[in-house]
Parts: sequence; structure tokens; C-alpha cells
Amino acid sequence: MKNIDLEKVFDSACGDIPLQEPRDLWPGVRMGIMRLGEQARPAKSLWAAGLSAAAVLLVLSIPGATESIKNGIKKLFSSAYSVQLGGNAAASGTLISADGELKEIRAGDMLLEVRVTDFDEQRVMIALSVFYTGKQPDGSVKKLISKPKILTMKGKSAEITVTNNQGKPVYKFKMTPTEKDPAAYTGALAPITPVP
Amino acid sequence: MDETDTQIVDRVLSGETDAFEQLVSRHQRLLYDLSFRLTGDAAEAEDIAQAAFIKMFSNLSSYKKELAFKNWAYTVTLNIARNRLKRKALLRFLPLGIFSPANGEEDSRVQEPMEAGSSPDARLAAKDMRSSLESAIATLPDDLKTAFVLYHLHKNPVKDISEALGISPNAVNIRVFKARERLAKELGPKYLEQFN
Repeated sequence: MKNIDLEKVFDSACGDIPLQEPRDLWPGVRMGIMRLGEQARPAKSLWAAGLSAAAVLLVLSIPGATESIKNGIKKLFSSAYSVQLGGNAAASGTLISADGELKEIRAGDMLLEVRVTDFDEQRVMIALSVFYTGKQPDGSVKKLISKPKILTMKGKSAEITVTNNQGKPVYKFKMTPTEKDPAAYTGALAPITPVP
Repeated sequence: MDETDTQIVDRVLSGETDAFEQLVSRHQRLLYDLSFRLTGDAAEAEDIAQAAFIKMFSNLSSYKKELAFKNWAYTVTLNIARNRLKRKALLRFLPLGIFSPANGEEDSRVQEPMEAGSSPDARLAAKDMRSSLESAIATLPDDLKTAFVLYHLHKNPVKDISEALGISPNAVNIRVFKARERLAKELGPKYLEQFN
């Protein structure tokens, strides 16, 4: 059979196939656009103290993998967090991230990138990047302080030690990830010793 | 007279963010349908289409107006869909049966031509063939499937598909040709009259 005939056959046959109808995507798109706007907005200087401040306390609380969707292909993490630098008031919010999605938390000159990835049924990978975004002597505005990563058992407490650029332990990050338990993902990043 | 896509883009770029809703409304059905046929998952397809619109919005200033907005939208959507499929190791296609008739309904009799009239038998036969065709389309390799869907289901001219996929018109024709051949081979034994 010639292909030109097949073209007619399929033109006719496909004419009966309706296109899949989505629900109205605009509300979700609009929300995404608004989120883009928030991310693009310059971070406000909530604290005068930079990374060199003597007392820096950062607390991250991620209450659990709350929902497993699409047959385990994608898991959703809802993460309440609070960030505190020096003696200033803590900033807090909720971080919603899909499995493996990189999320940012800004707090003054600090930028924390968190990625929680489901590894298997028993384990989860927590990847953390801590940046200082204040202006550096060399003119740069984003300096990676530490990029720890840990593979940990769900339901077990995990600890990540964050060091400064001299390799000296500065912060300790603790997290207890337990799937489907909203209260189980808790973490704290606190200084071991004050930075001089 | 309806505004053109380009006119709406200009309005969005001039600050009327909500005008973007019109572009979403115009193109969401095609982008969702394409995403659905690539992933076989309604939620994933919706997510991909939404992500595509958000990406289009954020990159709107780089949109080249000599290209049709629809073709650009296809390109963005396909890039996102491919990346997600790769990342999630979902580079597989719809399993047979998603569009198939209910269990036990399958039979091997020769179907009446679907244009044969409006008798209940003819309508049933046309519906059965449509289901079989959708299932067969779902099993095509994604490059052939994409070209076939854009040509036969979405009724785009070869030139537009070429623009959206970034390949030559000749390459589009070859892909569509190969897709038809495969589908005819798959469906031929069951629908002798149409495909042989």
C-alpha cells in the first residue's frame, strides 16, 4: 500500500481521536509566575551581621514526606523551617519540594540550598549547600561555604558537620527524616563554636 | 478581531502579566495532549504543561517573534517532557491497555469501515479501532510518536513541526512515514480493510 494512502487512512482515523482535555492550567501557572517574581526579588538585608557574626543559628525543620503520588514516582516534601542569625528574630516559612527538587532558603546574607531525595524504601539523601551572599573582597557575591551530603536511614537521626573554609567545624546539621510522618523531619544547624 | 499571540506577548512584556492567561487558554489543550501522549500520566502531563508555560513566561523576552508562538510552546514543552522522562527513568511509553477496551472486549473479527454509516455496529467498530489506534500510537518511539501526534492528531503542517522540533521538513516527513508504517503493521492484522 502506498504511503499516500496510509496518510489518508490515518487522517481519517485520527480525526475521531479527541485531544486530551486538561483542567484550567492558569491558576497553577499564575502561582508559578508569582513564585518566580518572589525569587527574583532581591533579598532584603534583615540582618546586618554577615557570616562572620559571632553567633549564627540556623534551624531547619522539615516535617516529613507527607504524600506519595503517582505510584512512588514522585514524593512531595512539606518543610517548615526557621532561620536565625545572631540575636535577630527568626524567619520561618514552609518549603514545599518534590523529591529531588532543589529549594532555596534565604536569610539575609545566607543562602541555604536543600535537596531531599528519596533514595530507596529505607534511605533518603539530604544534600545541603550553604552560601554566603554578602559582597566578598574579590567582588563576588556568592561564596560556597560548604556542600555536605549524607545518605541516611529514614527514621534515624542524621548529622552533618559543616566546616568553614579552614576546615574547622562551624555548624552541625541534624535531621531525622521519616517518611509519611509530618513531624519526623526535624533538623537543626547550630554552631559548635562561635566563629572568631 | 482576536488578538494575535504576538500582540498578547507584547502586552505581557509591557507589564500586563495577566494577559498571559490568554496564551495559556489558547495553547494548554495541545501542550497537555502532547505531554500526556508522551508520558501516559495525566498528573505528569499537567505538571509538564504548567512548567512549560511558566518557563515561557520567564523567557518571554527572548521569544523570537518570527517563530509562531505555538511552535515555540511545543519546543519548550518537549524539552521539559524529555528531561523529565530521562531524569525519572520513565523513558518508556504507554503500556498497552490504557486506551484499550475493557478486559474481555477484544476480538479479532474484521471491522466494518468506520465511515460505513451510523449503525450501532459501525459506531462500535469505529470506537474499537480508535482505541486500538491510540494504544498503538502510545507504543511508538517518542521521536516518531511526537511527529505523528503533531501531524495527524494536532493537524500541524510539516513546516511548523519542523520548526518546533528543530529538524528539517524532510526529517519530519520521514518520521511521520515511519510512524504510519509501524502503526499499519501493528493494526493491519486486526483491521484488514483499512490498513492492507
